[in-house]
Amino acid sequence: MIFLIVLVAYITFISIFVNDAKLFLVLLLIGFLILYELFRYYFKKRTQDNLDTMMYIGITIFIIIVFQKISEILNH
Amino acid sequence: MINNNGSNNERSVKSKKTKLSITTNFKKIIAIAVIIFGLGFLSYGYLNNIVHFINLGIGLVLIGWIILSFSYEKYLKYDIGSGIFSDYIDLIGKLIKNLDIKTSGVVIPPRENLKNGAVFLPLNEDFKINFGLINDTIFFVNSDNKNEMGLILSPLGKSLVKTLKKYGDYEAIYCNCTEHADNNLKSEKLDNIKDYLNYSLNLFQLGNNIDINFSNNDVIILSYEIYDNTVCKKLQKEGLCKKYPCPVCGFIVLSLAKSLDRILKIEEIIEENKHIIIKLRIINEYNM
Repeated sequence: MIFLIVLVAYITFISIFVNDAKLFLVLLLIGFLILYELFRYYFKKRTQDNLDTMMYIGITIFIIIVFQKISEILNH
Repeated sequence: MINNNGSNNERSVKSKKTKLSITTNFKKIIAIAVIIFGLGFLSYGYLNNIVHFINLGIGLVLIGWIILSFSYEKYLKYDIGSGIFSDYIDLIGKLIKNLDIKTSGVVIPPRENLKNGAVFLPLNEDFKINFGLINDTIFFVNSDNKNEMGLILSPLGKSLVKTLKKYGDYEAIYCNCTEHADNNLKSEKLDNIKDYLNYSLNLFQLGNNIDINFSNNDVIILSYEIYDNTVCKKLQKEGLCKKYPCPVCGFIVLSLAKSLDRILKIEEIIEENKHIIIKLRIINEYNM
């Protein structure tokens, strides 16, 4: 519950102040990873598995964003 | 009377099930609604090029997904492990009752012919253990001498010991506390065992606050807090605790027997408000 409350507050905060969707995704992933690392031991095994899947998808999106940025820099 | 109790139980189980399904469905509905809202914000933001709406949409989809993964949590409250274990205990209980065994269990540490150790249930109070007759494949110990007869059961909790062994943690508690060992050294090693058992119980999320005391040099009094005492209640009710301890007590006694390299007779196991007290007696096999 605390995990959800903190996450909702964080998402609301960054969605208001961030003007770029990619930056928002990166910040969201960072926040999620930090919170998940802090609270993961309080979750049941099945919830942990589900959140792990989410984490891997987030990391994949992060890698795609990084590659996009690299290709942008190289094209310049 | 039995019918009345049965119908009451049925009713309470039904009401619990209904409550559970309502809570789970409520969570699911909220999660799906949040995801739909998120997708709505996302598409609206994308079509009208409003970044804040896109952000909010992504955030809501993530929150909805998290709530959805939490909504299955309630199902895990039913402990499948203790359910399966209680069936197994019924079988053992029936066997012990039918054989009219009134003695308490004797925990034998692992040795050449018993790789995982064993719990020996002697038929007579004045028993003797003939190691020539015992091995891993034996169940009934048959002998001309009545005092040597009994049951050899595989100790519960041995899988926990195996798990620790697998990760190379178990050898840390192995100590050869001989009677002639220096008292300081002995107490230091006992402290090590205590710390180690505390660590293991915390690791498996089974209990904590373990305390080991020696009295008269051959009696060990061990106490700890158990997290889940549902199995304890069942075993205490049937008087099986000191005959064939549950996996948690079994793990502790087996670890202690192995680390001291001594045969331990379970004198008493008492459970009160999740506080367990185990009284063990060290048996010198050479005097038997």
